[in-house]
Amino acid sequence: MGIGYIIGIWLAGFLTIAIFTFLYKDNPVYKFAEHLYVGVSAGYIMAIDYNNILKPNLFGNIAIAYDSTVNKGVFDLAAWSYLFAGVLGVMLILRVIPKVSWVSRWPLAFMVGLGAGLNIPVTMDATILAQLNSTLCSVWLPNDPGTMVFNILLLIGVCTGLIYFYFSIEHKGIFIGGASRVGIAVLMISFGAAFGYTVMARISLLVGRFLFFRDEWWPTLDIIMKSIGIS
Amino acid sequence: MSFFEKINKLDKRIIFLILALAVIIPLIFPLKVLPSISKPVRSVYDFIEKLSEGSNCVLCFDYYATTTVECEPAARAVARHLLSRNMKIVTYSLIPDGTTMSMRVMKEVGDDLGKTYGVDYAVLGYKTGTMIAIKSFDEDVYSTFPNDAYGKPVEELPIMKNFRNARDVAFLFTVADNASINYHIMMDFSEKHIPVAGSCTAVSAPELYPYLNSGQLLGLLGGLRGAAEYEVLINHPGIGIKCMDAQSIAHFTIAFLILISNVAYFMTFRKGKKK
Repeated sequence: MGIGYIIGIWLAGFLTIAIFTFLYKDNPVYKFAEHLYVGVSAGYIMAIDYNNILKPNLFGNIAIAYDSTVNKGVFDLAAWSYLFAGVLGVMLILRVIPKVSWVSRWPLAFMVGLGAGLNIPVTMDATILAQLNSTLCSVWLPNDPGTMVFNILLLIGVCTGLIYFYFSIEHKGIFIGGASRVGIAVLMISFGAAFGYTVMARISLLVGRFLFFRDEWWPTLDIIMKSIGIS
Repeated sequence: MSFFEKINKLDKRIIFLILALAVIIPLIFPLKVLPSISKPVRSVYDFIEKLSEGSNCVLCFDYYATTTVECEPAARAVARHLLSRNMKIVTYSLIPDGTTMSMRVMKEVGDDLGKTYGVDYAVLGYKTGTMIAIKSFDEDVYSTFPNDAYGKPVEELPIMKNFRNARDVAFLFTVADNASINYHIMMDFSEKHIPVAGSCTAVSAPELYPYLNSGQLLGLLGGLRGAAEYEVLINHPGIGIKCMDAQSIAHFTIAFLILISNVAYFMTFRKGKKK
């Protein structure tokens, strides 16, 4: 365990406690940790994006295209096409200059068009047709009462949920009004499940930080105490 | 002031303190209660058990450093299970942090099981473009990732000889804290018919249950609990099981606090109405 590791662990411990101090009240230590986090994240993402996207995809491919055209006399269209993406990227950044900000609409339109073209068929297939297919299940299965009850609940939940979101007619009367109220109940149950899972997620993060103090920070404290002669 | 009125006016900092104690005490004095195994978790385990030895598997690391505690235990458990069954693992990521995560997890698990980099597993790194990146990987792995995460040409890695496109993939498992699982379902399951399973943060789990019901997702490890269940199945306790006691006690505390605050609210409401 080197000194660099110990400093890193103590820095992580300090920043964790600094963030937790917000639970008492807003304070300068929390603000420092918050700003440091935002700054480090932005810098890290920039460095990662440069090394993983710009450098190999744009500069790397243009270098290959230039080399093959100038030195080998072969026009590599596939490699040169990355220049088109680079130009689109520059056009997108022009958004920050008010006079020419309209230029950024072109790459945006390109991205929206490409995204829609790629997304619509697969989304239709994976999230609408497949889900519709799995909802259309038999509700009469006398040999399997468990699945039968589940399928009936699924049918009721889907139909009443859809009726609740049908706003073209007023939700009144026994059929529409009643079904709409059942739909609300179904939604509430699903929100409850989602809330339960959200609590679980947040508690996991809290447990993770305390586990860090127990398993990583505490052993370094032990080392420091021993090194200064206190055991 | 009655007890219920005090509850209604309780300083939230006291609640934070109670919750902190509910997490800290079980970490110091663990109860060592093992979680029961749910069907979505068992499905993943059973599927891997049935895969023939040496099958090509893809493990996607699509989570940020901020959710490491929730996502990494599942990644470790599944990687360990796959490698212990002598599967070939290729990892890639759709988010920047994924490369570091996959390098660390695969090295630690691989070294522990005596596996060799490039022969038993390979880390290809990060690719931007989400769905386009998946589509590109499925069509031609070599052109999508000319080099691995360490900068070595992928064609020099022995594991990549039989790993050229989606047709060579027997199973895909993605560990995600975002919508990556949905993308893999759309591109890998629906388009290429690759069996897809995943692990997600607990927040995302309810959204993915419809995919389990429709059979588009063969199994799901929801949050830390899912990872703990998988650790029980592979008989290798890790972070997931370590955290379960604290998690359970914290959940119980929150449920109790919700219950008592509701009772207090209704009691003081009735009292006010009577007055």
